[in-house]
Amino acid sequence: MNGPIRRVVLVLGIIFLVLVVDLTYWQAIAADRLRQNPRNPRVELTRSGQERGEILSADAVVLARSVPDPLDPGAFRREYLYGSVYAHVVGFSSAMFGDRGVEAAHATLLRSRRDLTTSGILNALLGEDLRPRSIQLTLNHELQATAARVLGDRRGSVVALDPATGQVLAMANSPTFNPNALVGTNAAVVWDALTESPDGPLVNRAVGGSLPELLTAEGAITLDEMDPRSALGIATRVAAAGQDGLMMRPYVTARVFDADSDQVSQTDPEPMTDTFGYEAALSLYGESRPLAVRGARDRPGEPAGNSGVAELDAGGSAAWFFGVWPAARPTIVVAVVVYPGGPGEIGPGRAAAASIGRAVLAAWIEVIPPAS
Amino acid sequence: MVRAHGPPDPMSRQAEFVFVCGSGGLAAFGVVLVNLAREEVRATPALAAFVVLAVAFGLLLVALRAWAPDATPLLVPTASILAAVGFVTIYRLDEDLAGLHSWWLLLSATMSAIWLYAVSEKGLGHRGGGWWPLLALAAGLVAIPSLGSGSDLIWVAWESGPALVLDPGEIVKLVTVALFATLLSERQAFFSAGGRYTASLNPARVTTVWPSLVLLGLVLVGVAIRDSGTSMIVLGMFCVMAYMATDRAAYLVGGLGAGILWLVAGPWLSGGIQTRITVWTDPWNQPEGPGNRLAEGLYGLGAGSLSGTGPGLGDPGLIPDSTTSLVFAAVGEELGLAGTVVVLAAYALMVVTGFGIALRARQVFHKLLAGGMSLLLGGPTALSVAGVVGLLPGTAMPIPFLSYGLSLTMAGFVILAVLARVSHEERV
Repeated sequence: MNGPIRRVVLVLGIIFLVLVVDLTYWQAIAADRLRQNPRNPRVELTRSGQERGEILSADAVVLARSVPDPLDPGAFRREYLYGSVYAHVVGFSSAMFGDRGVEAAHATLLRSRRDLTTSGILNALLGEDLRPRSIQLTLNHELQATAARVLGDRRGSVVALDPATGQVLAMANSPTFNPNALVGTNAAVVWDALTESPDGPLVNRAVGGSLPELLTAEGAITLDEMDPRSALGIATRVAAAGQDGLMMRPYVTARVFDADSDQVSQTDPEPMTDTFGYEAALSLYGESRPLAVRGARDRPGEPAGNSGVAELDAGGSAAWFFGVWPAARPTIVVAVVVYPGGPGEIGPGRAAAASIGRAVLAAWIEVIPPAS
Repeated sequence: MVRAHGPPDPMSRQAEFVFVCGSGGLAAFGVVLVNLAREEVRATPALAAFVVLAVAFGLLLVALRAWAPDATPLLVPTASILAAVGFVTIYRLDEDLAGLHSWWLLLSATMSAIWLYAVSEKGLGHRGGGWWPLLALAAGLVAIPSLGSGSDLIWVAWESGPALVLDPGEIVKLVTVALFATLLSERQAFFSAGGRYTASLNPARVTTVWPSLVLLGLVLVGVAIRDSGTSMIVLGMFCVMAYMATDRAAYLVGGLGAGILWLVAGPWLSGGIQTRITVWTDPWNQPEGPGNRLAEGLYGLGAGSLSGTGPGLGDPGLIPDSTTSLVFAAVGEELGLAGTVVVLAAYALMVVTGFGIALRARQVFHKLLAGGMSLLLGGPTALSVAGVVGLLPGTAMPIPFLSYGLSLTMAGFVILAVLARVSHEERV
C-alpha cells in the first residue's frame, strides 16, 4: 500500500512545484505587464491619489497644485486655482477621463515616480530624485485673466504671442469649463454634460478647426496641427510678417523645475517653416491701421491692427482681428476669432473682435515696464 | 506490541507552544503593520490577534497533550503560521470579518478538542458503524438547503443579518473521507477485484458495500445540484483513496475521465461553469469586474511582484472574493512571491507530514484515514491555487486556515486533530 501512497505524494509534489513555477511567472516575469495593463483597476487608483507637480504662469502665479485630500489620508487632490481661465492650456488630470493640456503633455514630469515598481525601487535606491517636477508656462497671468474676462460668453478664442520667441502669452477660449469639476465629486455628470454639449467646451478652439471635428482632439500642446483660420494660426503668421518672415514655433512650456525649485530644463525658441497663408498675412499686416489702445499714447511706438470676416467650411462666417504693438517691430501679437453666436445670427461684428483685441493689448502695455 | 518509537521529547511539545505563540506574534505584527499603513496606532486589535491565535492553537495543543501526547509536533505550528497569515489578510480587508473569524478559530479549536476527547476512550477504531450517523447528518445538511432558499449554505440569522454560515460541503468532504477509509480498509478485496467476484463469494459483505456506495452516490448527486465542485472533489478523493488502497490505476483513469466529463458536460449543468471556462480561455478580453475573477486575481498577484506591497499598502480589496476563494491572490498582492511561496511550502510541509503518518501507519484504516485527510488538505489547496494562477478553469475556492469561514476553519482543525490522533495511535 505504501507504493501508491508514495506515488500520490510524488504527483502532489510535482503539482506544487508547477504552481510555484507558475506563480514565479506571474509575480516576477509578467508582473510589470500586469501592473501596466490599462484594464487593471490599480492603474487608475494609484494615479488618482498621487502627488503631481505645480504648474505656474510665467510671472510665477500657481495655476495648478496638489493638496492633501481631506477625505483620504495619504492621497492628494488636484486643485486648479483659476478654474476655467486656464482650462484649455493647463487642462486637467482625471482618474476617470484621462489627461488634457499640459497635464497630459508633461504627465511623466508632473507625476511622482516614487512607486513600488522594480524600476521605481531601483531608482530610489540609486538616489535619483523621484519627486514630481514643476512646470512654468509662457503665459502671463495678467494677460490671460484679461483675455478670458473680455472674451466673456462670446464664442471665440484669443491668442497673444511673443513674435521674437513664439512664446504664447495668453490663450483663452469660450465656451470653456471648470477643470475642478472634473476632479471633484459628481465628475461623471459634469463630464457627460461637457462631452454632449454641441458647443464643445472641451475643445481648444484657439489651436484650430471647427467645433465638431475637434471634440476628440487632444489639441492644445501639439501646436503643429494648426489651422490657419484659428487664432493661433493668425497670430503665428502675423508675427512672422512683423519679423521679415522669421516664423517661430509657438510653445507654452517655458521651464521645468525640480522639487527644490532648481531649473531642470528650458524650452529654446525654434524657427519653423510654414508658408501656408503667409502671403495673405503679409499683405493684411501691411494694410494695418493705427489702433486706439488705452495707455499706448504715453509709450514709444504705436499699436496697429486689422480685422475682417472669414467664411467657414461648415457654413456661416467668423470675424477675426489681429493687433500688434509697437507696429514697427512688434513685441506682442494678439489674434482674436469670434464665431457666430447662435442660430439665426448672421455673424458677429468685427467691432466686437477688435474691442477684445484692444483690451488685451492695453493689458500688455500696462504689464510691460516703460524702460523696456 | 512493539514500540516503534520512544516517547517524544517533552521539549518538542514546549517548542510547539513557543511556535504557536510566535504565530500569534506574527499575526499581531501584521495587524500593527496594517494599522500603521492607515496611519493609526492601535494596541487592541494587535493584542486581540495575538490572543486569538495563541489561545486557539494553544487549546488544540493542550488537547493533544492530554489525548494524543505522542502525536507528531510538526502539524500544529505550521497550521498556526498559515492561520496567522490568513488572519492578517482578512483583518486587512475587513476588520469586522476578522472579528467574526476570531470566534470561528476559537470555536473550531474547541470542536477539535472535543473530538479528540471523544475518541480518546476507545481510539479511532476501525469499524464503519460509527460513521453512519455522520453521513446521514451530512446528507441531511445537503438536503435542507436544497429544499430551502436556493442557497447552498445554511444560515443561522440573528436580527442583524446572517451571522453563522455553514457550508455542508466541507462537512460532506470530511465525513466521506472517513467513510471511504472505513469502506476501503474493511472491503479491500471487493475494491481490488473491482466488485466482480467478491459479490458471489460473500453476499453478506456485499450488502454493506453496495448500499453505502448507493447512499454516497445520492449524496454526491445532492451536492452536485447545488455545488458540483464539491461533489467532484469527493469523487476525486474516492478515486485516489481507492488507488492508494488497491494500487489499481483504473481508479485514477476513471476519476480523470469523470473530471473531463464534468468539464465538458458542466455548461449544461450550470451557466456559472460556462462563464468560468470562457474567462479561463481568454481572461484579458472579458468584461472587467467581479465576474472576471481570473484576471482580477492575477492583477493582484502582479501588483505584489517579488516582495509584495506590504500589509495594508496594496489594493487587495479590488479582488473579488478576496477573503474566501481568492484569498491566495490577496496574500500575493501584499506579501508578494515570497509570501505565496512560503504559504505553499507550509501546505506542502503539512501534506508531506500527513502522508508520512500514513506511510508509517501499520493499520490499513489508519493509512487510508491519514492519507485521505492529507489529500483533503493538499488536493483542494492545489486546485484552488491552480485556479487562481489560471492553470485550471475557475477552481479557485477557499483554502483551510487561510480563508475566512466557519465550516472551512472547522474542517481544517478537524483534519489536524485526526492526523494527530492517527500519529499518536500508531506511535504508541
